[in-house]
Amino acid sequence: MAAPPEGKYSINLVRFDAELTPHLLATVPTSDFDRMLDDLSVSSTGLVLAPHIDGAGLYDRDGALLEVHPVGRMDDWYPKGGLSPDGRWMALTGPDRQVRILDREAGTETLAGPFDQVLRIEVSNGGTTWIYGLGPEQQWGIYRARAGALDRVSDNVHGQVSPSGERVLEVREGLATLRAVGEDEPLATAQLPWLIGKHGRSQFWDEDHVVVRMGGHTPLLELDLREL
Amino acid sequence: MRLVHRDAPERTATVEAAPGPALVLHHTDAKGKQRKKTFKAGGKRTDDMVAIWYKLLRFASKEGWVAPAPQEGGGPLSWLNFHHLDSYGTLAFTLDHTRGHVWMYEKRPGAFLCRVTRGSCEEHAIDVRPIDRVRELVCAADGDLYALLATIKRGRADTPAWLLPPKASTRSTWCASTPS
Repeated sequence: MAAPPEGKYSINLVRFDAELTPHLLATVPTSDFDRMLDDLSVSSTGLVLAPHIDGAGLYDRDGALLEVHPVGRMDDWYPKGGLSPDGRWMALTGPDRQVRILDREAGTETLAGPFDQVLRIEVSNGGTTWIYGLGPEQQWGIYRARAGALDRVSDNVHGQVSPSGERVLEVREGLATLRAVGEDEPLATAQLPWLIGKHGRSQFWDEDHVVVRMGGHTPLLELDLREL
Repeated sequence: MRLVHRDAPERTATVEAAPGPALVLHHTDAKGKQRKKTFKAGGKRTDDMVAIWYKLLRFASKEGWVAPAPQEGGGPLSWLNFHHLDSYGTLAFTLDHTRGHVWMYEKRPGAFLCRVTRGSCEEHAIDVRPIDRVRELVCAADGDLYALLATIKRGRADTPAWLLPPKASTRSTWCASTPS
């Protein structure tokens, strides 16, 4: 067995089970984050998209390596990627400023871009891919890629698309704004005076409830969007 | 805003706006004595409510106060969790949709994975030192938590001992370049 490659950093992929016991699935030594996925995504079928020394690795829940895919970084961000909940679709930043969207079942690939920056990628069942970044015509925002088309659905790259893909929640400077995807006029807004932070990061429990992190030194909180 | 103390739920506190502008925290100390603390912005921006709230939250967090749900008056806030005294902040979080948990990664200093049950302030923390940074955190549909834990070594990658099996294993823990 060859000696493991050396690196300044060691990225450990760990799974904590229900008893909170850690299981080390893989260790990736590296000194070069430019060519390695800096992201983690898990499907409900037990597939794990995580860093690999040659890009992105698709692992099973026990750490067995199933696939390896090359990735590329954008200007200021390390390579990003996402996996659909059913594990069929996968999207990765490529070396040519394009986001590669792969249908693993059909073995096909489509490109979305160009992007100068990609902060985050989310993939829905059915292949709709949400790309948070600096896209065509140098515009920041959230982009939706589906069926070969790419459209910008929000100008706020720090927003979060709801599970249905129909709404976007933006939280910044203490203001929560809910919009329909692709619409400028907000559906609802709420000033939350105890919130501090330039940009919030949010994750949805469901279509109506969302957890928001406003930044360092600030609390996590949950919003009921029906009350906005 | 209504607050209760993390360690003694019978201790309560409230936050009220005051002229100035200012915020006043009315609270009960550990000896049961009623206390009042006023927060104002310093410097030139005396009307900076964000700065005032920041001061109050820092103090409240330091003293162990949490904001339970539901808050009086309704509104969109349904749950809120304060940070620990010396937390540098939550750097990553993920949701366990199945069990209703929020998983957070905090630097306090040291590195901790904290699990908070939705709607409560009950917390379970896992000390993941000497991990230098949790780069990503994802909860799977079955409730298992996946994390990318980064360590920085001097010239050679390594894995913390607590992540390794109890006995020496022949299984390679680094990624082979060829898929199985």
